[in-house]
Amino acid sequence: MQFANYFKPVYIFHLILFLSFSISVNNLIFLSYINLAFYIIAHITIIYLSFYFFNFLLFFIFFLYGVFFDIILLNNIGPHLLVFISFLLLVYFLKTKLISLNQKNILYLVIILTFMMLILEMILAEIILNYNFGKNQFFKITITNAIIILPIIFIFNKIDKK
Amino acid sequence: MKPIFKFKSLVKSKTLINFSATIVFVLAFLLIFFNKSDYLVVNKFKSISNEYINPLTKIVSFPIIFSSNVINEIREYKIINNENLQLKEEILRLKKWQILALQNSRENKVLKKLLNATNNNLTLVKTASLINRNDILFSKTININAGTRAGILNQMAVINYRGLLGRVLETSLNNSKILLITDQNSSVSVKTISNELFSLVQGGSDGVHLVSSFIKDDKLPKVGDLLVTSGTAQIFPADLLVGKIVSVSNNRFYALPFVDFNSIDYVQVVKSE
Repeated sequence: MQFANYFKPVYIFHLILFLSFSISVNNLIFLSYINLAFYIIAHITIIYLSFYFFNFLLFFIFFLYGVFFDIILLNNIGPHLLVFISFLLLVYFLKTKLISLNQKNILYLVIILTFMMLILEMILAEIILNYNFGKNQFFKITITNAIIILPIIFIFNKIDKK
Repeated sequence: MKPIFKFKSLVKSKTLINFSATIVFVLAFLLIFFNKSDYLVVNKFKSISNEYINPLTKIVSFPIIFSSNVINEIREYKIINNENLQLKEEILRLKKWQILALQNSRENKVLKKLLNATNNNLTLVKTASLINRNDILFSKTININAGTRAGILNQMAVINYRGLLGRVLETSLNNSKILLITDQNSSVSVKTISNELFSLVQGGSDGVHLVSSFIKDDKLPKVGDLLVTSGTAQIFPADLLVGKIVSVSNNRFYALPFVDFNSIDYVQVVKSE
């Protein structure tokens, strides 16, 4: 029984987040779509954690993820950190509105927020750090996101129901 | 699907959440603000990332990296027969060139002595191997397993057997981060071999090509011209192979780097003698 405590959904989600972070920052030349997929999974996990397992510690955890995502992928601090912290603040301030949403609306919200977070990071990287992204990159990230988002949310719900 | 949106907060105290949010938000803005200047805290984060986080992520993602390598090996094994035939032909061709090169080398030495010319040789600081690469969506950087302990300093040039790879961006005790020349924020001063047209090139948005950002006297080079480092910016030693011009349009030229960035194993950190 005590062992089962270690497998609480929240710990599993944090483990998924760490795994996704680790895989997404190590380029696998011939499996680059795997990198991209895990990069997106990391974002979905962040949204999921902040929706269902909100905790003051998340501010510090997301702060660290934001900093290290930025340093490893951009070598400068900015886009990820700003997006993660702003997103968590947004969830915190809108919690009364979010509670009243039904399951369908939450699903839509998660999908929209994932797209927004990814696009916003790219836009911020362009504004702050002068990285230009072609249409191809936006298209690639949108398609990968569209393909994996529903199965991932389904798996996350299964984990959460345990 | 979850039936309703559950907002669970482990901490009942609102003050603690408000306090954490404020602290983290202020800290985030301070970090972003001090990011561009060489501020100690930012450098500390970068050094932790180099020294601990990168190796840790590599260990965690080992199964995926291993699978990727296996797929790569299988792919290479399939084309090995064709490659063998090509290599046999290339050996014969290279043997002829070797004889010619040896003759030229001897001739060069004699001519240099006659001209009393200064040598443009490179000093090898360290040969290092690739630890992991972070060139996915944003910047084009790789990490190597040698740092300040091996005498590597920031801004040193990094090459491999094909040509210029990039420059050292961050160093920690045992690791260094290399900014590849294909990064959009990397700038290399180059010249064409044929007619010495000077220009600056940076990484293109496709992550593959190099694009000119400045051309001296607006003289455009021709397609097929070879680019080498000019040595004028004092970062890269002169005459390192950079790439070949593949297209010229709208007062810009596009070059393809000589280095195959998909198959980097070992790199050399060099400096001018």
